[in-house]
Amino acid sequence: MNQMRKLISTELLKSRKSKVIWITFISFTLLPIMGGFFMFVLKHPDFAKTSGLLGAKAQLAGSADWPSFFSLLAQGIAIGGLFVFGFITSWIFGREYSDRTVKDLLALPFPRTSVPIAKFITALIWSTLVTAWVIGIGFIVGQVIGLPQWSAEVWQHGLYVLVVTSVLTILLSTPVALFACYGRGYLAPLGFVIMTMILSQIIGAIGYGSFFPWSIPALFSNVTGEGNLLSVTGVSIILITSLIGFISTLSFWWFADQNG
Amino acid sequence: MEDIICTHDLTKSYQGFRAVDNVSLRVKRGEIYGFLGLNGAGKTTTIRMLLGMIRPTSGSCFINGQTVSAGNYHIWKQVGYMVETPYAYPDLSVRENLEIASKLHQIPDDSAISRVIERLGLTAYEYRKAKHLSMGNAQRLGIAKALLHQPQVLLLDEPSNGLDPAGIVEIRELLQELTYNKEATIFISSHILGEISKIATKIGIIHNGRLIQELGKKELEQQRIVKLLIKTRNIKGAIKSLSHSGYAVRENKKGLLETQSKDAVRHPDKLVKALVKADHPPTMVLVEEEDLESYFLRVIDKKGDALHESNA
Repeated sequence: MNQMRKLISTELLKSRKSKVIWITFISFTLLPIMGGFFMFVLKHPDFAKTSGLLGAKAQLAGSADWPSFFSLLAQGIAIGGLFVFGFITSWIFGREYSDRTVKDLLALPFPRTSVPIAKFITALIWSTLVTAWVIGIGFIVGQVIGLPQWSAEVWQHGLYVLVVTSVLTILLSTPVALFACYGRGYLAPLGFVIMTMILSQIIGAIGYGSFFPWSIPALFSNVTGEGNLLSVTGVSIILITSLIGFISTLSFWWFADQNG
Repeated sequence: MEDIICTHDLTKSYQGFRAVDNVSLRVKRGEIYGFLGLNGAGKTTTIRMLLGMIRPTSGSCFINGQTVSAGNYHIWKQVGYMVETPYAYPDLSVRENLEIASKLHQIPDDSAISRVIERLGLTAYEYRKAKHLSMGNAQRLGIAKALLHQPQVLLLDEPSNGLDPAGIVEIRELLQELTYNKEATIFISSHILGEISKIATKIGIIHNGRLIQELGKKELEQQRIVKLLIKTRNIKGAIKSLSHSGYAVRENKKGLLETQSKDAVRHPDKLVKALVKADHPPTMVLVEEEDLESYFLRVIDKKGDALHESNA
């Protein structure tokens, strides 16, 4: 346990000292700011008229109130999170191959699988912090705009949807790690992330999204406008996908030849 | 003396190509084993197998009598290593990189970091980011990481790469000190043969994946060709008179008299006396010892030919 704590602290130090952590925070900050901008536009129709196309697109978010804003944030996390959380995971794992430091993590006096486990925990911490940041900024933006329909019930439901969507999306990052290790760098996992984003849209559009892991968080975030759809099958599909990614990454570290 | 590093018929094949072919070697406690080979000979693959980074196709490796395998991770407590060019986390300083290595090796004492920084001459660069280090200092940082936990076994792949001449001497002395004072065992691969000849107590030569020779320093000295080179004004006359005196001499390509006769090499004074007596006084006498580089090239050339013949 003590060794795992030390390993996680090394991973956090590496993350903290990199520019990538700031890039993920800044890029994901755009989500509540853009969402807030849409809400502002909806709340002020005169401005919407003068802004033309942007005003028309802002109608997609529905009405300018807290439930709509929460829904918009959840959809942003479900879709944008696939990329941001995937990017975090691909960096945490892929950088060891790109920086050629992986060889220093292989012959150490503890089980080799401890390293990827520590990396997964670090990715989870990092992704959780980014999500908390987005929700926090969203809260501030919503308050500044002065969105209506604020109540403890709305806030609780909104937070529940945001947290569940984030957890489901973060869980889907584990296969990205396998691509980072197998592809020995960032390119393969980022390609995989982009592919899953595209496929989630296509498969969602043809009506089979509830069976495709990477579409499920978006469906839950109410992207279709049919409510927060989440079945036991959907949760099981995500858990199985996550477990496959986790176990196969650990297996790669344990069994594969490490020539990097 | 016990074997600290040992391999049995170690083989690694990649799609039918044998990168390492039945290599069996032994390194005893306190030895510095120089592992020589051309690029692609199988040095790094062997080191990676010794470190459990890649699995042998067949055969096995042992460190401190224990089998090297992914599950047998306790053996790495006493092992320090540096494989190929050392790399560090570029955005972290020298000290931070060593702090990470310290945590990975479960070193409770932070003073180990300061000690190794000082020992490797990195004090001036302690807070400099690794990406701003020169190649020589990056190499020092790699060696510092390998030595941080004061291991009893060191596996170093080309440790002198990128070091300036003073750095090479410094690292040589450091490694010799480790084996002398702390009885560490060092396995060192290199293509800087002059360096290996100064430091190694045992040498293994790997060529096309096969360990073609393994010999101690004394054996190496015995096997290295030692010649006596003589220059005289009348080469033909000198050859004739020396042949009469029982010396096997010949004229080499440079127009010098050359003999490998043990008696002549050990007692060049006798030969000189014979030449003076025959009125062919030498203008130059030189005992030339074959260096490791020439020896290595001679051995791989000979063995390479033999391998080609056996494969034909």
